[in-house]
Amino acid sequence: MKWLLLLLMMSQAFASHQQYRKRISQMKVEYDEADVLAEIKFGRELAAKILGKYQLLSDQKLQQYVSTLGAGLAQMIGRPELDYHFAVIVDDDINAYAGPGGYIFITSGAIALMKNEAQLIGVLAHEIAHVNKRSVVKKLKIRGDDDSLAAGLGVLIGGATASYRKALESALDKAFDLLFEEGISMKEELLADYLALLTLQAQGLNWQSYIDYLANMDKAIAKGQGEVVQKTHPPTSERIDSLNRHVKSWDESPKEVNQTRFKKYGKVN
Amino acid sequence: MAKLIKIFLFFSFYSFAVWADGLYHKNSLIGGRASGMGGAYKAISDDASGAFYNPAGLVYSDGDSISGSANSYVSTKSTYKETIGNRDWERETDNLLPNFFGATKKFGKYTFGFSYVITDYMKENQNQVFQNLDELADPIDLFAFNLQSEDATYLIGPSLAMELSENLTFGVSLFYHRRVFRRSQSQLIQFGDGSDYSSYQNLSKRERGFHLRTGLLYSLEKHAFALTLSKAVMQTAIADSQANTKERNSSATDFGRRADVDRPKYPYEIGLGYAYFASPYLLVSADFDYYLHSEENRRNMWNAAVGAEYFLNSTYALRTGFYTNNTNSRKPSEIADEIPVEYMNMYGLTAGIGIHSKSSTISLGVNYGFGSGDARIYSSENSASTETKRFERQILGFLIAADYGF
Repeated sequence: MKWLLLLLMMSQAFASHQQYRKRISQMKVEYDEADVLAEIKFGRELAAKILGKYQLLSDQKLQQYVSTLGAGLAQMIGRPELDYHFAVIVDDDINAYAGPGGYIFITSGAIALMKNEAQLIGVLAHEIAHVNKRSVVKKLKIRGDDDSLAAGLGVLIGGATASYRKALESALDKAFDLLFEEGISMKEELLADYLALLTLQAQGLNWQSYIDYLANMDKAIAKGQGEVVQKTHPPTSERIDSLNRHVKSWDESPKEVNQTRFKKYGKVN
Repeated sequence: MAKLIKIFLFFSFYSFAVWADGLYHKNSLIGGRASGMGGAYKAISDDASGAFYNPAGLVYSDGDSISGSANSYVSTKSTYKETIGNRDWERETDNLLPNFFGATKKFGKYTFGFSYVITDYMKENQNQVFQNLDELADPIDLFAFNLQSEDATYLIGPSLAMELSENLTFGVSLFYHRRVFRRSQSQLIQFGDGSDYSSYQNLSKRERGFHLRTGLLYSLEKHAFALTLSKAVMQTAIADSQANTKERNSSATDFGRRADVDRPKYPYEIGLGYAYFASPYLLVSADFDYYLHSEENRRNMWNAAVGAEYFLNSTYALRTGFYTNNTNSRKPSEIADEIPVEYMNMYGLTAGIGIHSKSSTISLGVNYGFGSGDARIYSSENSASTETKRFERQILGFLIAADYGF
């Protein structure tokens, strides 16, 4: 029942202040197989671009730990049509990135800041929420080939095939900018934080530790370890305030943080 | 006989007249979705055609980049009652042309656009012959005239739209305005007594200038309100005419030429728009435009439009609209010495369907315009006649348009 509630909440669309302008044709959420394949292909190319900028951490023990945790989490709250991939990249900056198709990266700086497994699960759940919401996909309108009659007629009338392809190519650069420069949307980040907290709550893990992680991140940012996250996310204090408002009516946070396992595998070498 | 001669004069003086002549401001409905809604689009304007209706709406275009194009076929028929003897004079024309192309792209809070709009277009090719006009006091065996004319107004230029606040957007389009008018006409009359009259006239006019369109769009929950201000200013306007005429009782042919520089004063256009986004399926909208004229013999006037769009499902949308296309001409009774004078307010009904797919929308539409009014088209050789005739006009247009979102 908890999972049902969780999925239900995660299925709620991110609200836009002009959402009412959307017509039903723009709101339809059916993504066919071609759309998913396009998303995966796009996500793979974006992941390659990210790995062109950052090195993968060579610590295989930590990589496997993060991958295992992430895969388990994705089984519970991820989209079933995707194979999620998790990796730790070498960067002292504290951040994590969610690309389309389930490609999720977390920086070594972020892992180093964490105190326990609950915090890591919170961060991974935050990124999975972005993938679930198709944050980048929707923003960049990444869709599969449109072989409908209307699209065919449209090409005949306006001859837009070439420009459409060009637009998809440029979308890769745009996605990179979204993750590293512009951010997706401040409201979506706040919602992803909330969904991360829900995930911890549903698993009986200490959700307060995620808020503590954000507080620690705030201090690290002040020391210069949050160059990207500062540009792409709301101020950390705002994120903490938002979460505190959500948990006001919740029972006391569970104690479990999986400290032992995190100490064994979650140390950055 | 006298009346028929007046008709010739009508043709001679009717230099830049009829339809695409600045008497109306809504001869063409722009854009696929907008035209299906009767052009009531100022508070919507969230596709490429918003560059024309209200550039502030471009902020709300769906997607990082969009483009749109529209092609229209328009057939027009005007009937002047009992004008040639006791016979009606009919003018018919049909045109097929791409009348809009536009594209937009977003950069953060800014949306840039570029569009090409044909706001007015009319092409005529008439070859008419009237024979045995025996009902006239001075019978005529043959009255023939040929007419080829083209009148088009093009706008092309960039647009910029931006968010001023969460609920308020601003936009501006600066178009290069170009109007080209050409007309060639010849007339021949053979009278019952064996005499004849003939004439040939060639007219051309070119206008170049700028057309600025600005707009604000304010959103309050499901309601959107628009305010627009537009003005065209001409830098150059050159009119050139040539004519040769052989009078009835003369064997000589007279030749005349005249060139004028006369920059027209286009009106200030103040527009208000409203849209109610009742649900993701239903949208209703209304526009009101007021035109402030400063040219002699033009009057301040208004136009209104209402439209609605209803989605049957996520693929098919039905659209309908009603609009006025009022004339800015004064009534014939208010203008004593000008020929020709047409006074007719028109009305239009539109209907359309939108077919939506993942990446594009195809719009099919039909537009029926109608109106009737008074025209003073007769003139004696020395002074204007006060006689007016009833005339009516019907316009049937079909449109196919495509929009893409990337």
